Amino acid sequence: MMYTTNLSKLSYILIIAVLTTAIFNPETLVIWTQNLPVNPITDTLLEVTEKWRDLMDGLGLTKVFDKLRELFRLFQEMDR
Amino acid sequence: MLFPTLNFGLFFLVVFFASWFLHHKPHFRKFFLLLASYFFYGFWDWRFVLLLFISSFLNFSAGYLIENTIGKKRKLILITTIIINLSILGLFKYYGFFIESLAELLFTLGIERDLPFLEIILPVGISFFTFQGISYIVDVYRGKIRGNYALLDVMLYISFFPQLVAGPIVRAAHFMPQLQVKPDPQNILAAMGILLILWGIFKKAIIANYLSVDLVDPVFFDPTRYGSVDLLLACYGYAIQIYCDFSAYSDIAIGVAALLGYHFPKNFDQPYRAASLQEFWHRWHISLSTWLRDYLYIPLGGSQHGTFKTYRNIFITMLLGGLWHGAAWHFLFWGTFHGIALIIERFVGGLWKLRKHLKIVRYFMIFLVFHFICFMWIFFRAENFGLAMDFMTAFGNWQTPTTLASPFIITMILLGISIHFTPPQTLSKMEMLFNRQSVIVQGLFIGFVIVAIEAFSTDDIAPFIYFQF
Repeated sequence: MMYTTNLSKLSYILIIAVLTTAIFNPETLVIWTQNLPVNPITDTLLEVTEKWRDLMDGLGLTKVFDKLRELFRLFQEMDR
Repeated sequence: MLFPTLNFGLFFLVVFFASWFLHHKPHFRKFFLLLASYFFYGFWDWRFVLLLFISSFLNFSAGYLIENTIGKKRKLILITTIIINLSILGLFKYYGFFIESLAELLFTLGIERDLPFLEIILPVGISFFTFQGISYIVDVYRGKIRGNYALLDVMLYISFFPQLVAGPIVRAAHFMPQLQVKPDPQNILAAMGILLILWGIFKKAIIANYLSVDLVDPVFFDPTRYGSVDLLLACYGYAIQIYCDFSAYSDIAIGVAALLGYHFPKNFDQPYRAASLQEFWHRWHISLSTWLRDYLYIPLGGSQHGTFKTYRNIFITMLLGGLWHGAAWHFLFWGTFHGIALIIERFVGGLWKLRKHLKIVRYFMIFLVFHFICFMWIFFRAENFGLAMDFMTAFGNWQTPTTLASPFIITMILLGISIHFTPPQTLSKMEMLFNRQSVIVQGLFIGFVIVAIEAFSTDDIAPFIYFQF
């Protein structure tokens, strides 16, 4: 049995997925932007991603990511 | 550009939306996908884009000539093109090994010569796209596909980015007809594609990556520093790592192709649940195993010319399968030993019949085959033959206490093994469940899985193991 989806539905799914990751893990965007070649466009991009990250931090939405990472590290370091 | 990175994520989103935007104009779409594939390949080293172009053009021209020629000349064109393909592969992949081995041999014989050593960089994925090119011309020669496809189609078939650098080795007869059909935006295999991509990222970024960094790499770097328990764990760990690493690449490639409207064949089928070596090779790197079967083992005569020739053909196929992975003695040994083991297994065929009836025998055989495969992986993973022998010798060291066994490492290994014993219809059931959800739930699910994987994984992810082949 093949389960198919149409393009417009799939596009919405992907957009929601991208927004979710950008909201809950904006740090990845900042790191990615920092690694871009330096020029006026990437400077602006870096400024925007940092502002976005600070906004998400302020709203407390990045705590989910931090908590997950903390729990995983605890498990990883168990009995070492 | 590695699959589980933001670079690739952004690249894929651009390609996804732009290619579907062009779906009314299939030629433009194919041209765009070709440009995207060249960009993807050039991201590693732009100089090799020319090599990819030459390889594609060579095979396109040969296919065209074979199609439009009659008589013995067809075979001549086929053989010449295969030799050129293999020479290009040989130059990049085996030149260094050949010169080094020759220098060592001459030195042993007391003759010293200035040999033309050259520092040749191995282009990523050369073995894969060379084999795809050969598959194309052989299929044209055998009449499985026509040789009058447009240059654009042949170039896209050989360069299509999801499978370009580490497979699966897609057959021309499987993929080329798909390029002739207008992609249907109403019927995208989205659930399958998305779940395979997420599953692949999980296997690579979590299981393979941690097993590599925390267990396998340190032990294989210097096995003499570790005791038997750590060595045994590293052995199991590498078996799981290479499976999770390589199958992850294949899963993501199949998933990405599905989201773009194309179908790739399955490349792994729970290989460690195999109860014989023959079954293992039907489940592991299926696209290479079947390639070697159809383009090497069967043309050699397969099993049609008596017992001795069958054994000879198995041996040659496995030996060359080992060499395909790289020019080194430990790969040669790995392939040779697998070949010998397959011959012995075929010779002792009675167990196979017995296994079919008794479940307990089947479980025992799965255990045995898994441990044989793990043993052979030592030779595959070790940097050289000497280190593999060090690994063997150090196995007798039961006094040194374990320093690497932790609940985390053992969980990763058990997780990797348990993947092999889930019901075969699991993916299909997950697809059904995923497909039933609303758009918002599906989007949130993908987003949260990616966030969780990012939270669990390290900042840097090592390249896929099969990139080196």
